[in-house]
Amino acid sequence: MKNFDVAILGGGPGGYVAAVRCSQLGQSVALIEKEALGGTCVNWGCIPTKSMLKNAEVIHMLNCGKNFGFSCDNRVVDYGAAHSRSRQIAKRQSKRIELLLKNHNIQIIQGQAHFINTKVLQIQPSGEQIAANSIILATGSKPRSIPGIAFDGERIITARDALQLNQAPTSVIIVGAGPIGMEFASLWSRFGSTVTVVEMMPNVLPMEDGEISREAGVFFRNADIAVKTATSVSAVQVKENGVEVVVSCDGLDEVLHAEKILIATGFTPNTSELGLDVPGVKTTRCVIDIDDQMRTNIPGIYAIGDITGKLGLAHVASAQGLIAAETITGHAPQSLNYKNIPRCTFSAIEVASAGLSQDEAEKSFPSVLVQKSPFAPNGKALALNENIGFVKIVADADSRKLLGIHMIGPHVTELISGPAAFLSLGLTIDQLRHLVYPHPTLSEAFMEGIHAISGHGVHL
Amino acid sequence: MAQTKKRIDEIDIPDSILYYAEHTWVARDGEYYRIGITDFAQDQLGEIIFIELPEVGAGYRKGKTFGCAESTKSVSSLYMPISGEIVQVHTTVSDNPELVNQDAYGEGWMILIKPTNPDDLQELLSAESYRRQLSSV
Ligand SMILES: Cc1cc2nc3c(=O)[nH]c(=O)nc-3n(C[C@H](O)[C@H](O)[C@H](O)COP(=O)(O)OP(=O)(O)OC[C@H]3O[C@@H](n4cnc5c(N)ncnc54)[C@H](O)[C@@H]3O)c2cc1C
Repeated sequence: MKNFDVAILGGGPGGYVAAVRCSQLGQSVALIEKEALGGTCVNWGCIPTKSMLKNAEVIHMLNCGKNFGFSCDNRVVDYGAAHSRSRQIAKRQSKRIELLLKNHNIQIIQGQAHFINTKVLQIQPSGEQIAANSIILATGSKPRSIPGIAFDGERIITARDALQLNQAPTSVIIVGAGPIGMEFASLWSRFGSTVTVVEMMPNVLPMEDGEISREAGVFFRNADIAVKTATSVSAVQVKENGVEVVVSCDGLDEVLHAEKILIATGFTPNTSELGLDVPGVKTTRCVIDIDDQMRTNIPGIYAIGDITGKLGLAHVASAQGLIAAETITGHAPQSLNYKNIPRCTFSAIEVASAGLSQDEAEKSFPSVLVQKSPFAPNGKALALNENIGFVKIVADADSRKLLGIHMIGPHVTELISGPAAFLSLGLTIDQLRHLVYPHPTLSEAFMEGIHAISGHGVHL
Repeated sequence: MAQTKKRIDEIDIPDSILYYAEHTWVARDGEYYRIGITDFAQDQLGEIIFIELPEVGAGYRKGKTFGCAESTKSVSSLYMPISGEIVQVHTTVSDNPELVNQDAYGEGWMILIKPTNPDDLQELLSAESYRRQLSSV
């Protein structure tokens, strides 16, 4: 039986990053992956969606042509081409990870692993067994349907099924107005589909600060996406040409029809097939319990990424992977403050945030400062023809430390990193108000907000 | 941890074809010419992840880039050794870029072109001159 210092189950952004860091720290490493390296993120998540969304953005730019003084008649929009492009990009990134792992002398084992005992894994279908001193579980998650409705891959689909389509549905119902739901809504509506989004909560992007959610709702409705909030799905029936969906809002039922229904309401961790009861790894509702150092209750077994049920984001999985690797090698890594990690939605209007929403802050702090800085007066936003949305800053009135940053508008997923870093570093608005930002940039909206919250807004 | 590169004398430079200083090769194929990158170029790049090739019908002057090759370490432009019009693109290598690493002069060929300025052929390097160029850097 082959013996390794570390064995990692799953080659997603959690597993492969942990593998590289373990190898850098002198460990012999095996990484077991049952499908494609890069995991959900590279193959069926972050990367292919962003690739598709870029095609959708180009369509939007062409549609806005007249604002810039040009017109393009008879334009042809090819969803199949967008699809192939997204598959090629995913394949390219997956290949890059394979070579990266090989360059770090990491043994890549193709197959599905489960526990034989605390230190030994068996790999299917080969039946091979390997032993390791430390085992990192990074097997990710899979989409969860709504009770009583089963995915069929054809009419009732997951995001992964959606990314396999090489034609946009003519009409689609999307259940769940979280980031994934709104990204697909943006994609398909820009490709000409009739899109209806159904969300149980009162607002779209319900995990965001309330004002951001409301602004996003207005934007999507104006973009011809039918958004039904405070509405739940009670039944789905597959018909010959599509689906019939019964939704209810305020006790009133409505019947909707569409070619397909995408369910994007949540995820279940991939823990059921790992044989976790063999070593006795503790889970709570299928999520593996971990401490700050990614240790499970069983010494030598660690868990990272979506199976730990934290934020369900790729960069969180990777950050956890680095911590697991450092813990295994006897370092004492700094623990993560999950609340301060940036969260992004790459929909037709972008949303990004870190830290506490205004509501959360007001519940935890006696006095809170809040400032909104719109993109409307921002010269760069105007030049881009995208002066919509705003930056919202939440700070503690006593310590004057930042508590939360919330952004909606052009390219905010790129803008969040700086302010999120200030938040993580515990900086105060008095420290930040002396910073000078380059002009003309969208980032000035944040600086403007900092000036205003200190009582000296120049343009607000 | 990267693999060690070949020594100059280990680089395969077949005598039967011609070379361009920017590490592309040219092989006659009936009235057309077949083009790819040299063993030296593929070795320098390391394992290739992605190759971008032009469309059939496009025309390029000698020395212009007709595509690029991306490896884990870098992205390199692919240079036209002679002016010409693309008559065929070897799409198999776009899907399987490792072919260029495995067989740079065979299955790793990239484009077939119709020369638009046959005089360019006179300026290409023989295997011997190309090897001399490699040794001098
Ligand atoms: C449509 C969509 C869009 C998304 N967009 C974003 C985004 O923009 N930004 C963002 O941060 N996050 C995004 N996410 C979330 C992100 O993809 C996940 O948070 C991330 O992939 C989790 O990483 P992971 O390493 O925990 O698991 P995964 O990436 O899921 O990787 C787990 C791997 O383990 C393998 N595996 C499972 N069981 C076994 C086993 N028993 N043996 C061997 N291998 C096994 C799987 O095949 C898989 O490759 C998106 C997700 C989806 C679905």
